[in-house]
Amino acid sequence: MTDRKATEMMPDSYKWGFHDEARYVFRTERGLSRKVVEEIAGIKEEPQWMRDMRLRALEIFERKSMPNWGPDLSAVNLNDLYYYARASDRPERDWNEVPDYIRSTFDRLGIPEAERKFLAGVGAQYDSETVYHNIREELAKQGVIFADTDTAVREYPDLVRRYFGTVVPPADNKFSALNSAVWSGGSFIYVPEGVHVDIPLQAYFRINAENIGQFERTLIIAEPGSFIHYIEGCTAPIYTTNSLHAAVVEVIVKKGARVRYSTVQNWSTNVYNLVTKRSVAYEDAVVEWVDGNLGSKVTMKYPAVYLMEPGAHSEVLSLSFAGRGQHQDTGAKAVHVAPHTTSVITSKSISKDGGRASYRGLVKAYSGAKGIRSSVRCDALLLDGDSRSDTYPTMEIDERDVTVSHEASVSKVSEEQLFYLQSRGIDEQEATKMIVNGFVEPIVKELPMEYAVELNRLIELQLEGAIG
Amino acid sequence: MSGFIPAMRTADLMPGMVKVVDVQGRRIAVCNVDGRYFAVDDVCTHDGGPLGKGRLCDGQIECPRHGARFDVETGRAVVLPAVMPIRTYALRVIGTEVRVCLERRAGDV
Amino acid sequence: MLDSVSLRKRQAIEELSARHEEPMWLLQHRLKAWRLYEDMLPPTGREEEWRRTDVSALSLDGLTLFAPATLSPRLRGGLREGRDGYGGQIVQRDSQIVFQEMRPESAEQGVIFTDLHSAARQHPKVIRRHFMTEAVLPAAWKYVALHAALWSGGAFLYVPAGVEIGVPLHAVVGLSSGGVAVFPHTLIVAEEGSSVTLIEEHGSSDGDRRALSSAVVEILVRDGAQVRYVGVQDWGANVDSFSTIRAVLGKGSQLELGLVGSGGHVAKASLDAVLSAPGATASIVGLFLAEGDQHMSYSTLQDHRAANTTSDLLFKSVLRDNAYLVWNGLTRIHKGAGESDANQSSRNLLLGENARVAAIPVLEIEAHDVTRCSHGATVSSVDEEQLYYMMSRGLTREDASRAIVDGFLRQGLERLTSLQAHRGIGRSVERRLLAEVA
Repeated sequence: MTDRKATEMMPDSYKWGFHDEARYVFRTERGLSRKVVEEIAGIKEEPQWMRDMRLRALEIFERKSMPNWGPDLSAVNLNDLYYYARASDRPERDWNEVPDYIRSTFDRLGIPEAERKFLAGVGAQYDSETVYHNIREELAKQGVIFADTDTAVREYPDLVRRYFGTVVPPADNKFSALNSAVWSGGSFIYVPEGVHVDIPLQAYFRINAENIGQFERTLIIAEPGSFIHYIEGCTAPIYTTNSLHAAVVEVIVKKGARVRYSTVQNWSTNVYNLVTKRSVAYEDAVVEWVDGNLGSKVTMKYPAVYLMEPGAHSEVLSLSFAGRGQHQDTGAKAVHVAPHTTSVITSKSISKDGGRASYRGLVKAYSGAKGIRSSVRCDALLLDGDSRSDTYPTMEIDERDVTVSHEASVSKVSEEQLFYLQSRGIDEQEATKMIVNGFVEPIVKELPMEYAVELNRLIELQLEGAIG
Repeated sequence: MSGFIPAMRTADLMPGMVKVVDVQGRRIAVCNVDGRYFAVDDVCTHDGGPLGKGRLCDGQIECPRHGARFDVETGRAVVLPAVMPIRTYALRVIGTEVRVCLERRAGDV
Repeated sequence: MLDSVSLRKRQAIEELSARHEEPMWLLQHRLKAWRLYEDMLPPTGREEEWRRTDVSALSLDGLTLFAPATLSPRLRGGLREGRDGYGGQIVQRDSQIVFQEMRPESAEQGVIFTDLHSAARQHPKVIRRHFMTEAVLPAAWKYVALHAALWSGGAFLYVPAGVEIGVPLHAVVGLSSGGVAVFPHTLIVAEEGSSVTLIEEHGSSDGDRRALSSAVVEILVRDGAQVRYVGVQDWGANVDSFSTIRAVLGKGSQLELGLVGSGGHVAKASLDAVLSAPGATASIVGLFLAEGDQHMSYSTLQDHRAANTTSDLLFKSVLRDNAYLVWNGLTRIHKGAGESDANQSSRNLLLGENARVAAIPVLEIEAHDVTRCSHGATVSSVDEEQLYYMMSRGLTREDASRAIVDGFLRQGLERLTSLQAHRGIGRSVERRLLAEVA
């Protein structure tokens, strides 16, 4: 089967045979109900307050309406999904059933055999447990907590309860309500005062036997003067039948602390990826979001920072690639509540083969936010005549003493640049790759090297059209 | 006691409940937190949502629109997406009458 | 629904039409529009375009919809309707035309510049073909339907193919003290290869009673034609103004449009430039000065429907006191509108302690081979460093501030002045704006 054919067959997930009940140790009944939510809380042996919160969130979810803006979500049938599934080991899948375009991507990216099988859901054994275990020991010495959120609720209830839902409450939007009702998995990180964690912590390390991140709930607390870099996702395409992902990430950065949160998302192209990511930054705190969106059918994600006290600073680097049938609706928000805060947003997007990349953002300055500075720069590259790019930025400035700017541009690959490269003997496809690489370089270079290398290779693959 | 306008009777509001009253054209949400009464603006500072239709929990009032919460005693925003405090009003309970002063905030002498 | 109020209104429309000896089709047009108005829902304030504006400013309570015989209002401020230097003039007070003239040379070339009532009687075919049929239709929104039913006075400018008018034409609408709703209408038809400049002023002094204006400007720029339009609004603080301006550009045509806005209580305008054929170019400059508790809201559309089209928009605003300006700017490049060049720039200077601005520049691009498609928006107060620099050279803080604001507006003013040959208006605008920001 050629790659192209595989791609065309992709949308129908039933072809890959994931509808067998028997392969799951436990799965809640189809659809969402009180019963399902209570079962989830029960399985996790959660304290009463978490169970109550889930049930309240379910009520809120039921009464909230779908967003009346943004990508088309009409194909999402909320009643038809399984909201929780658990296997003692990963469901057994046949390597031959994995779509060609995923297998060949692994090849091209040079992903080791064991890893690729793990990521594709084939076979249960990947030695992430060992890696995870070693890292945890190191961290424990510093007093750093790095656990999955389910464990944190049980082992550090007071800490979790103090912050959970304070940055993104259930009622914030329909999908934060959904997540609050059925969340499972995700990371809980607590960094004590003054502690600098030198190695980036990766979600990868704590992938457990649960479902693969459908409704993750992540909570990061950085005490004053601390530093942490957290990375989630990976460039290798994650294949999953779970077609709705609604994650919530809350990050609290206290005085003088710094948190960098990097994401590279490459979900298979049947996934609706709707994420609420938000942080609060206190005095002199620094928050950095590095957000790479390559996969999924639809992504709606706008990492946000609320700059609550003077000296707080935020930076968002957003990179989106929209290929055939994809709609990346991404962006960032910077809310200046306190004076003398600063924000920088840089967004780069590429659209190809009819893909659609939209930037959606907000810069808000409340009255009293004197002396704030904000700078937004969005650039979009359209690679062919079928593709589409939009920008929907909003600036709401209620304070006079500010310096706020926003610049955006949409363009095709510069003919001059192409001509220049071609005149040096480089063929058009190679030249395009080089230009695109140069275009995304400012963001890619902010990722740890292994990611950067893989990301560049992945983008090259996308450009070649060798994958979907 | 000048400026304190009768808003409701104490029996009108059970502990843990919120009720909206119109005091000289202004919509005030009166809250009963374990027998103590507080008065705040009915309008959420985030997006104008109806606080009075929200619920009371641990001395905080929650806006039904996006889940923002405010401390009813100080008016401080404690849960996003609200960041600006809501206006509080000085309140006195005289006998069975709850009275609100529009000019003064809770905690003003 | 023909209740007694409705019946009375229809009768009044018939009387209005009869008074101007309008042809039957025009009366029908009005009545149809009135029915539309009654059926259409008003904005609720939850719509994206209205959510930052107080929709109660749309109220017609207490306003006379059919302006009676007018008093003699004065226009506010430094903008005068001098006769020198103009190729023609139409002056309207409330709903009545009080003066009009045109240079004979232009009339000989077949140029028509007259009020709409006269035009409907004297040039029915042309009016019927172009009046609210192409640029702005009665169904645009509720207050355009209202306008289509009740308009009175108006200005019609028709330039035959190949005719070029070097001297600008001038139209003025002045509002009396209050209690009225007026519906000024301007229709410009520039046939192929023609060229014309129209400068329009809408204004009033401060009145003690509320007034409302729902204006419509239609500009049809045919192939190869060139139109320059400057619209100056200078309202008294009692006026709520809602304008709908829309230009449709033909092949290789050119539109230069300037807007100057100051005064009013709520001033809301929508401005569309539809580049419907290849080679069309639209250049838009807006200068806005808001103060007190004024609210200004502008929605602009640069609609690229054909290849090789160009548009550029520059809006500059100065906001004092508690003023609030909203700008919703949309640039849309349709599929097939390749090799197009579009830019939006919004520059906002906040002087007032409580001044606010919301800027929402939107790009929707469906054609990939755009030459350039960009936008930029800035919001700031007077640059402290620049201030200190000037003060260190001996200027008082006030003078330094004024110089900075002057510099800020200068670029926009220059582009505005270049739009027309009449130096006077450029100077008047400059004086008015700069006097206010002192």
